[in-house]
Amino acid sequence: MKQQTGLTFKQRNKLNTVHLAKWTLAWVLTLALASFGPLLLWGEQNTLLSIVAVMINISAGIMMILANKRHLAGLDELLQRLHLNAMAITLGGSLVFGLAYSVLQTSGVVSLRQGISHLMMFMGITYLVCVVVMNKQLGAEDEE
Amino acid sequence: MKNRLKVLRAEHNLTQAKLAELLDVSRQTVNAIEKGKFDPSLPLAFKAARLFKLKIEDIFQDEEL
Repeated sequence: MKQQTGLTFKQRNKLNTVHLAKWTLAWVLTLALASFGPLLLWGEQNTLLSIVAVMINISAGIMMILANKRHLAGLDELLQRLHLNAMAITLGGSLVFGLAYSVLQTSGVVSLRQGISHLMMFMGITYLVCVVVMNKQLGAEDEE
Repeated sequence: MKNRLKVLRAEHNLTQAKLAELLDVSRQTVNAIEKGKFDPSLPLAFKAARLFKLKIEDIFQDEEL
């Protein structure tokens, strides 16, 4: 059974995933350009090029968000629920553990400073683990 | 909720992948419904009923009944 697009669920999902991967790659590359460009390419005094690089990065980021939204909307009801649960755990975990670490840092229990990049890594790994575990729980690997 | 999806699929000689394609969902969804790990939405239940030319209650039954 095919929808109006003429594509099956599998084909549609593959197309949306490839689309998301392309925009994610574009966002990562433009982020690298905006981060290292002033140091390695055009010099820190050239603020115009730095602003342009950030604008390009934001544009790619918006396209990535839209591609992600489209990818999620294209999933079926079970996979949408799976990703919703993974997002809930990721968001909750980041809030709880991020603030707990901040409190420990403020009270002097831990001295290691954590930046935004550590939070991004925590969120990415949590999301990935959640999706893999929940996929396994649903018996995605079972035989026919 | 109990269901007869696996039995009906076998009767119609369909694989999980083929049934998933016919219902326009992922194979994980068919697998999860068959194993009773996931209850489908009403539109998906209607779609399955239309596919097998049955009533919804012939495929899905409330476990409390």
